[in-house]
Amino acid sequence: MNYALLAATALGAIGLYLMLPRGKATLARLGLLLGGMALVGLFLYLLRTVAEQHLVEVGGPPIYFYLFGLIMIGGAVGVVTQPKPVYAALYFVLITLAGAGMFVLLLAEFMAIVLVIIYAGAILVTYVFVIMLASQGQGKVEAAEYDRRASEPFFATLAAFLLIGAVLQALFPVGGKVIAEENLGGHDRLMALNLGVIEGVSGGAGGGSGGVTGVKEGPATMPKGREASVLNPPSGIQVVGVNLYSKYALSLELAGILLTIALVGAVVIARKGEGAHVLGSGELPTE
Amino acid sequence: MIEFAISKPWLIPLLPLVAACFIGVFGKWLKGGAAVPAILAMLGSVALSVGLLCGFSNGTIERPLQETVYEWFAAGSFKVPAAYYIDQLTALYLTFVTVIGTLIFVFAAGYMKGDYGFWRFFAYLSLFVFAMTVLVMGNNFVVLYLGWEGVGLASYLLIGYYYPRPSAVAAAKKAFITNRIGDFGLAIGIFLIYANFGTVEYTKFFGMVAHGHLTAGQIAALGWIPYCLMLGAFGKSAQFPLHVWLPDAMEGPTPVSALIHAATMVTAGVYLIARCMPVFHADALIVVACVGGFTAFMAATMALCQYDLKKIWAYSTLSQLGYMFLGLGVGATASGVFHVFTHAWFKALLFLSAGSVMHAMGGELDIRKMSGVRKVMPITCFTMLIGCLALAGVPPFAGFWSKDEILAAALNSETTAGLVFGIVGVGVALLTAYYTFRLFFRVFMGPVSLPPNAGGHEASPFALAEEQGHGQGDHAVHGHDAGHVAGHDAGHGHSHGDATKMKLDGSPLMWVPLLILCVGAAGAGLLGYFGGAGGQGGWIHHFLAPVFGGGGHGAEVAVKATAHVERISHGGMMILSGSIAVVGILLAAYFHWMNRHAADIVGANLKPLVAFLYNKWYIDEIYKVLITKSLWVLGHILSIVDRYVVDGVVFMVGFGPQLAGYTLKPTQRGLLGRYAVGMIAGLTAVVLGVLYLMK
Amino acid sequence: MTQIELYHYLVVGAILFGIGMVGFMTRRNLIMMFLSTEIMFQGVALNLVAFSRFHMNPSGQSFVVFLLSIAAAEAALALGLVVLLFRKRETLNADAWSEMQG
Repeated sequence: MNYALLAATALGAIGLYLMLPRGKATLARLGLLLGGMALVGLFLYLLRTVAEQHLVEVGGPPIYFYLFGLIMIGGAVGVVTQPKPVYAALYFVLITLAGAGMFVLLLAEFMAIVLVIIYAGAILVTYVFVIMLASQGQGKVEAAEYDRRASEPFFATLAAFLLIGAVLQALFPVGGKVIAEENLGGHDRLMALNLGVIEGVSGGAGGGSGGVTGVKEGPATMPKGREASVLNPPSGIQVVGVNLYSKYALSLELAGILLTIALVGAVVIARKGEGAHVLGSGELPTE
Repeated sequence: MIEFAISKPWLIPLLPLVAACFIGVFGKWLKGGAAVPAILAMLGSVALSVGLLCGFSNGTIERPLQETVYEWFAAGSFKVPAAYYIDQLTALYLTFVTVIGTLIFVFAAGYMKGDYGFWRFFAYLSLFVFAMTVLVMGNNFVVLYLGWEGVGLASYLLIGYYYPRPSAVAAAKKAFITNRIGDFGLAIGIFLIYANFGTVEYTKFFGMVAHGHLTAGQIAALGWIPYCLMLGAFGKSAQFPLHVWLPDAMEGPTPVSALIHAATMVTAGVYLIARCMPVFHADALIVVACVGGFTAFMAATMALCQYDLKKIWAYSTLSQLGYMFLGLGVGATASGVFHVFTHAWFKALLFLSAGSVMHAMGGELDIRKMSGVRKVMPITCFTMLIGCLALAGVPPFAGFWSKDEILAAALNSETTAGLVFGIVGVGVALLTAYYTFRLFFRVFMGPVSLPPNAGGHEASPFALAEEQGHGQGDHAVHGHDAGHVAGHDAGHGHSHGDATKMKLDGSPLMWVPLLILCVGAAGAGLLGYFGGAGGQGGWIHHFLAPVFGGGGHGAEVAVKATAHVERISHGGMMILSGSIAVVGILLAAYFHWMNRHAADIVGANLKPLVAFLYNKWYIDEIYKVLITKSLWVLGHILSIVDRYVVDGVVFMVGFGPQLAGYTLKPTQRGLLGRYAVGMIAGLTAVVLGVLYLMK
Repeated sequence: MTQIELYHYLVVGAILFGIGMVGFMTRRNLIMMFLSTEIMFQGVALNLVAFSRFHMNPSGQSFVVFLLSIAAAEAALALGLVVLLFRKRETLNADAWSEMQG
């Protein structure tokens, strides 16, 4: 049991509990203070933990990680506690952008761009549209009654933070030391090469070692050998593309079908007029 | 004709079946014409049957006809061909079944007129004829069983024909269930035969028995098989103790009583035993004789004190069937079958005459409520008289000859049982003559007195509404010969002065068959005395000789296996039984014609006996106490056990989830947020549990 | 300043997931409930990409593609339904639909 983590979790839970909307003047500021303290404490604790030294900085520059992490968590708290849906949606944009930053840190530029385009550009816009549509005609400056009062805040916070606490405790089993065994198989080693994580098979093993033999197993489109990887520094898109269209080709097709179905479904649901009362009114057809 | 009959005997059952199907399907549209296809089919069967009979009689057919029409079913070594086996016995049965059947069909066409279920009735009747002919034509026990069950089914359907009437439904069920007991015996017998002899065909089976070389198991089985078959025969032929269904079966329409429950179906038992005579050993035959003799006596005493026209004939049928079994039991097989033959004629005649009376009296059957009917129904009176004389055994009418032979065979039997029941049989002959003429004198003689609803048809539950609208008068004239005067008078049937002028014999459809049956009832017996070749016995004995062996007179030669003792000569027997019949008739004439008051006095003096006989020896009541009540008590005990023990356990099992459901009900409030909390709390609990366990 | 490790990302992902859960449970507004699930999606996506990076396996990123497509489908359908429900009762309060209690 890691008591420092436990204390941070508990403090964060109390903070979030206080920050949840109550409908009247509350201790939200105190909650914000407590939550912030918990988060900062946690990050400080994370800083303190010792880890193995990698060949390169896999996780990216620490300062950016902490910055983005703070923005993401702060944004999430904002979404959850903000009574007005539009502002909540804006907080969510914050999460998305910080998330994209995180992805960049993890050398997943493609994912970062996709996240921004799809989430911030498409999904979030839909949300905002719907929020506008649903609050149409109310004309009130204040948020709706049901947005100003959280339901079951105590049990919800308790349950969620029990889970967070349990996960954190599991992540730091022995004094915060993470034992990360990097047991790379042939495929993983190839990936590592391509991602530039490891400097090829540096000197010792040579071209004939296990790493290079793995090249032959890889997809044909891959840049071959050590030279290619050196010449083309981290190109995640290529690797992900190959992976997606070879290993997960069928799943990708299914995802496409799913999206098509969702499209058709959305059209049917939104359709007004003749069949609208059957599908949309919540009533059984009368005829 | 004979050639055609020989080549296509399977048409005999097929024609009525086709008629039954045709009427069953199209009957609704045929309405009153439903009788026509049935009668036509019957006429075809009659022609073929008579052709076969003639063929056997004049020697055209030398050996029994046997041919497989097709293989009905086969399972491994068990093969059942749909094959016929026609010998003299079968031909005789076929002849009287179809001929009497045809006459009864014609009668029924008049009798049932105006009933809603008219076509249904003829479909059933045709079905019955089909089943009965299959029964006697099959060459193996399974086909026999098919016919056996078929006639049972037809009987059930026809007894329950007036199904809106609860008593009819009850009687139908009683008949069916009682028959089941007998059928069970028959089925077991067939199983035993197949299990031990590996065949169900008559010829193969009897051949094996006759040949000898039997294994110990087969010999043991042969000890039991007759008793099983006997049980079946007793059930179908209503012998004690399975006789209770037959009197109740009179709930059916009268033509049914005549055809099925007097003339044909009930003699299936006799056919079975006659057919299986080769396997009946002496012990089994004694049982047959005892049961037959006892039933003859018991039923005759019961008939003495009944007041219901049809019930009297029903008990008389029981009694006569008892005679037949007595005859079989003492070895006079041919005589038993001869009695079946003669009995079919005169009992059909009696029943149809009774039906005619019933028809005319508006469904009234109580002999105390009618008197002097001869004035209004001269033809029926005549036919009834012929029938009664035949039943009573007055020479030279049919019953005399066959009964006489059976009694002589019994008296001359070597076995004590045969002798005892022979003497009883002579007594029964007296009773028979008495109760037969008691009915006749009561109903037809004496001062004219008719029931108030005379002239109206039996109150059928199916009578068409529009016919009822015309009143009773119209019912009387639907036999048009009754004339318009009768139609007027019948409406006032209760005024005695007018009643004497009524002509209630009904339409020719009804009285013509009666007259034809009269010929049979009067003359059938002569076949037992004349026409025999070689001087010994009558035509019938000569005819049946190839089946049962021997020739000549039944009383002398038909006694099987045992050397008979000559106690009484045939001539002596004739004189004895003839005089007994006359004595019985005279007694009846005194008590029920000349001096009815005396009968009342005698009845009053013997009140307990009369009550005992009127209540049919309380056998129904005894059955009720012994079987029905005990089953009822057992059923209720089981019901209580079921309700409180078995159901209790089940309810206990069901109570647990119910309790849990009531406890958890408040958590299901339909609020999405609460469900989410519950879900995530569960997830958290699982994660915590897993982490704790992994430590 | 020490290096950023896998678990750093996992911690952030777990916290996002937990906060999203809290939001899903406590908000009564249907739109906000869905938005909270999107936060949870973000936490999961972060985890997947981090695993992909630290375990040198592109499948993690592939999963994020699927995750995004699911999120998009969900947004399209769920928001369409939310609009219909809003038309029916003129409210977005999830407690207004308690027919599930049967």
